[in-house]
Amino acid sequence: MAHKVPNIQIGKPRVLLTIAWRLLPISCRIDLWGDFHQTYTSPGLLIRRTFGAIRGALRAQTEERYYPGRALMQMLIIPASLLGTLTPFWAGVVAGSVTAGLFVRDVYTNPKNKGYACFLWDAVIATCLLIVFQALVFLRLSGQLIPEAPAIAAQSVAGAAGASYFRLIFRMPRNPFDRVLEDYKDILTINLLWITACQVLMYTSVVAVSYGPINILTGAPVAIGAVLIRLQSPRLGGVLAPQLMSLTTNPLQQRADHAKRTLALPAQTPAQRCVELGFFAVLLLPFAAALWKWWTKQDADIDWTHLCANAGSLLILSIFWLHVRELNDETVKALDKKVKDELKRLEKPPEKTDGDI
Amino acid sequence: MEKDKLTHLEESLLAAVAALGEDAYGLAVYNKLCELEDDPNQGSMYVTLDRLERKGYLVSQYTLPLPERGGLPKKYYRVKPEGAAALKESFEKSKRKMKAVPNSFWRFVKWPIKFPIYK
Repeated sequence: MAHKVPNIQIGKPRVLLTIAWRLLPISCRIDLWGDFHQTYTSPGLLIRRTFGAIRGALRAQTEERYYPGRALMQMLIIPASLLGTLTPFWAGVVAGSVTAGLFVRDVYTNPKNKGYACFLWDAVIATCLLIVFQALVFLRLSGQLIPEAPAIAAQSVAGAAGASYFRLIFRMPRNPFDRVLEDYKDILTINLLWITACQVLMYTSVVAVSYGPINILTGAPVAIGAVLIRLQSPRLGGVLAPQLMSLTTNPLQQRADHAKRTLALPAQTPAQRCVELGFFAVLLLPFAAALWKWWTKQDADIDWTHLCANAGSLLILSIFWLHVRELNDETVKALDKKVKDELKRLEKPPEKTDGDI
Repeated sequence: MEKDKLTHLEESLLAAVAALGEDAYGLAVYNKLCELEDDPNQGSMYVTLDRLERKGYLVSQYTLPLPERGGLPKKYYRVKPEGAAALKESFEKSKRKMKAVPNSFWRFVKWPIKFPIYK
């Protein structure tokens, strides 16, 4: 019902009414349209009231307790990721435009729609907005930019991923795990998004330092591609590959076990902790190389602004890792509970009805 | 459920829904809100009503589709005990603020303001 214009008997310009219906925020569209219908006088007034209602909805959402903090962090993280490729002024302009886009997007996201899909859409939209705005700025002021198109795209992904993580933390539903099997793919994508952001960061840091021995890290995108093939290939036993179903185990349990294997959980053993620390050490390598070059007084070819912005992004991604890890842990627990409940339900004998007696 | 402070609009909306009793649906709440607030906005009202529901202060239910609303349903709201408690607490705070100001203030406040001169 929410996606179809109701059969309105009022007013002649049907196109105008359809536009007004489409423009109303989804969360209160039915209520507002019903009210407009009940108190209808003219199409002009209806359009005015539609725009008034949109303005009110935009303003009212900022009264959420988390909203000002989130908007501020979003505004800081996007310019931080853009400083390598844009001047501070244009980074601010782009960040403001993207934040405004996301601000409008918030009104059109239904808060009742649980699950993580909406956060992923946010990430996609933020990335597209960042790339489009940067391209526009690039076309207008090409003299002020580093002419490296891949670096611009990479920075956009890093900024958008960072911004969307903030949205994820602040907008996480209160009880997100009641649809854990449906949400699992979105949670896995959040993990992959985080890894991609780390790899992009590593790539751009190396570009900023331009230091021979660590240039091997620029091969990271190739490594990521290989890992993705490894994860999905049935021949290599990838966990994301279609699995053969066992006839002796409960299908739900098989699905849950498969899902659990793909999520990165908090390190349990010293070896796992070492791997985790090693990953962050590798991420810090370009910064360490830059410090070494500075110490030995050969820092002329280091882009320090770019590198400092990347160091800030690394810090933020490290903080996000704690949240992603916690999210994975809670997902695994929710999956276990779901399987346990299902097995308990199957073990219970069916209740006798009057027809059986 | 964590306790949140009520904003000005949230307080007015809870009061409007409480005042309307069984007739508290969107448009009626808006009309009541017009009596309580200067120039309220319908979009703000629905977003705030939704937030009050998520906070656990209100509960709502849709009716069947109605012809007078172009085949769309009405949404009726009721205040939950948690909402009533929050509204009461908010009113008591306002009462305390009112009590803090002496009655003489209202009689003698006038322009221009004069401060005592200390030498």
